[in-house]
Order: sequence, then C-alpha cells, then structure tokens
Amino acid sequence: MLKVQHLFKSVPGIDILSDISFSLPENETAVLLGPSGSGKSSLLRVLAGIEKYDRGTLLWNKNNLHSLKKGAIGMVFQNFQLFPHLSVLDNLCLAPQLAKQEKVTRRAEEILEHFGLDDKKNNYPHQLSGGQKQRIAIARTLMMQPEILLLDEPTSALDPEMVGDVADLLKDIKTSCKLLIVATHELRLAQKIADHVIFLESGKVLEMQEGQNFFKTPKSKRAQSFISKMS
Amino acid sequence: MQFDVMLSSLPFLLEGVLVTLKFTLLSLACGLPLGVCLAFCKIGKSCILKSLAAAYTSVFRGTPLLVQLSIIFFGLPALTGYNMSPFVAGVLTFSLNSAAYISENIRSGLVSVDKGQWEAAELLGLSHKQAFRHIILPQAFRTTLPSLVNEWINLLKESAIVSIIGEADLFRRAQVIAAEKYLYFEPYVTVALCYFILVMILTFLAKRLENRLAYA
Repeated sequence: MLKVQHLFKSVPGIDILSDISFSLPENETAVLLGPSGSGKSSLLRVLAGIEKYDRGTLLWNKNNLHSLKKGAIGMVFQNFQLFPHLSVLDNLCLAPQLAKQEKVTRRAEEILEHFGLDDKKNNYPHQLSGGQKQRIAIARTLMMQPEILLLDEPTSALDPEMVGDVADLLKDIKTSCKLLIVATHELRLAQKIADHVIFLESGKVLEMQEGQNFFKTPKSKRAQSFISKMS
Repeated sequence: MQFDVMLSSLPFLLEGVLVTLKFTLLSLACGLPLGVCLAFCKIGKSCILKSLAAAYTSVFRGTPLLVQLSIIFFGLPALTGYNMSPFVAGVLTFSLNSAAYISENIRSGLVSVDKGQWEAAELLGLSHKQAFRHIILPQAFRTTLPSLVNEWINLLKESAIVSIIGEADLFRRAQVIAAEKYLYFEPYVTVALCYFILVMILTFLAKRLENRLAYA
C-alpha cells in the first residue's frame, strides 16, 4: 500500500502541494485528475523521487518509498524522454544491462512483440509516431520491472482519438506492476481506467473516491463543474 | 606568372603540409582533453573550479594568439631559462588557446541536453556516471561536433602564425620560396590553395560524420 501523509511542497510565494494525504492499495489504478496547474505532475515527480518536497511522509508497504531499489519506481514522462541516440532495442536494454540483469535482449524482444513493435526494434525514436514512442517509453520502464508505475499525462502528446488505445494499453500493463498511478486531465481516459480518483486543485486534494462513484456522484462543487465542463 | 617554377618546389611545400597537419592534430589532441576538463569545471558544483575555468577562458579568448605565442616562445625562456623548440612552443600555445574555445563549445553542448534525459536515466536506475557516459555525453557530442570542426579548421588556418617563430610549416616554406626565387604571387597562391584543399577535405569528412550521427 502507498501511503502519503501531510505532504507539502512550495516555492517562494506558491504552494505547489499543500497537505496531501491519501492511501492507495496494491494492484489498482489510481488517477490524479484535475485542471492544469493543480499539482498532478508535481505530485508524480515527488513520488518518483526526482523532485524534492518540504515535509510529509511517503510510505510503500510501511517502508520509506524512496528506499526502494533503483528502477522500482518507473515513470513515463509527458514527452516520453526516449534516448534519441539509441535504437528502440537499446533504449529498452541499456538500463537492465547496466544493472547486470540476465536475458535482457530476449526480454526486450518479448515486450516489443507484446506491444506490436517488434518490427521497430532497430529504428530510432525520431522514426516513430507519437503512439509508438509512448509504447516504447512504457516498455522501457517495464524492463526494470517496477513496483510502482507513474504516467504523466499519457494522452497529451497524442491525437485525441487515441485515448481509447491508451486506455487499453494501460489496462494491459496494469498487471505488470503493483500500483499504477496516472496523472491526466483527460476525463475519458480517467473514466476508462480509474479504480480510484484523486481530484486535485491548487495543490490540494479536494476529493478522493472510487473511480465510478467519482464520475457518478462527485462530492465537491469544483469536481462537479470540472466533470460537466469536460464531458 | 611562373607557376611552372613552383613545380620544383612542390616536394618542399608538401613537407610543409605534413608539418602543418602534424602541428594541428597535436594541438587538437592536447587541447581537446583540456577543453573537456575545463567544460566539466564550468558545469560542476565547485565555485572555485568554475571561477578558475571562466578566468582561463577569458584570458585566452581575450588576448591575441600572436601575443600568447610570443609570451610562450620568447617570454617564458627569458623567465625560466628553459628554451623550447618552435614546434613545441607552437603546439603548447595552440593547445592552451583552443582548449578555451573547445571548453565553451562542449559546455554549451552539455547544457543543451534536456534535463528530462537526466531524470529518465535516473529513474531507470542509472548512476550519475552511467547517465553521463551513456546518455548525456553522446548527445552533447553530436550537438558540439559542428563547432568542434570549426575550431579545428580555425586551428589549421591560424597555424600559419607559427611561421613567425621559425617553424617550417606550410606558410613559412612559401616565404622561403618567395625569398629564394624572388617570386611573391605564385608561392602564396599555391599555399592558399593547399590550405583551401585541406579545409575542404576536413569539412567533407566532418559532414560525413555529422550525417552519420544525425541518422542515428
């Protein structure tokens, strides 16, 4: 279980995250929902350990979240951050090879095949479409067998009509990790994948509910107006 | 025009081409690692190293190359009593000078790599060193390559300056031929052509390397 308690982060004059607290059980998908600037990406980056926070407690199964081994928290960035000078296969294999894992190439080829990208293994990132880049970025993260997988705005760099494909992809990879957390402001995506919704605004958790309950009966007025505007 | 007279001096000039090439390559070989070290100092966390590297660059970019060469070839022996050959003094001056320019090129190449690449590497479990070696440096190199080639071309052309301290490079040999044969137009035009051909070959090779890296 992931437990976040009284998490604060600020820069001079602005509270980025303010008293964030929630718990998420394993084997579920949580969606951080909210308008732009609500703190979704910052929260993800704090959870990933690439951004500092001022105070608060982050626990994963009662242990410090950031004491997990390297690669145990995976993150897929909004702009994917594939390594442009490496082929698709090398993008997948570099980190596990440096970590001295075994049968890396075979595993990478299996993952690529699963994602329907086995014919792209020798291509370079600039030769891929947005959707392909995203799948490669996810595949690269999965190569490190993460316990927690974080995705930042997975649809923002893609055509709106691809929301359904992304939802299918995320459902598909749900079993590859213990917890999947997705930050998005794309309501259709959230509806399709969320077991839990954490609704954020101005760095605060306004509401947390089980997925379908949130979309049927949002409690806060802000969440109600957000859903009605985005529907 | 007596270009036919130049034919007999061609072997002498070609030896000068070799001297110029050797001089340029050695200067680059010494200047590049020094430039890389200076670039690391500039992007590093130590304020002292940052300031020292910045001061070094300012001095070498802020004074004429001819003055630097004169200080090293004429000034240093007067101060230390140690005499250097024109070739050594030339290589030393050009290495120190080009390191200042190279460091700036490499520094800008390193900082131009998206910060997200560091983050992605870190999240995949790469150490800082591994991220630098496998992710950042290759990308920075690709960005820096055109300016490094420019630096090399400048080095090749400016190497003619070593003729003033008596090094028998390409340009010096043109001066010798001019003095011997009382010809001034032909030797210098021939030498200009030699420099031009060398620069064109270098540009062609650099373009090929750039294209190869760009495809990757």
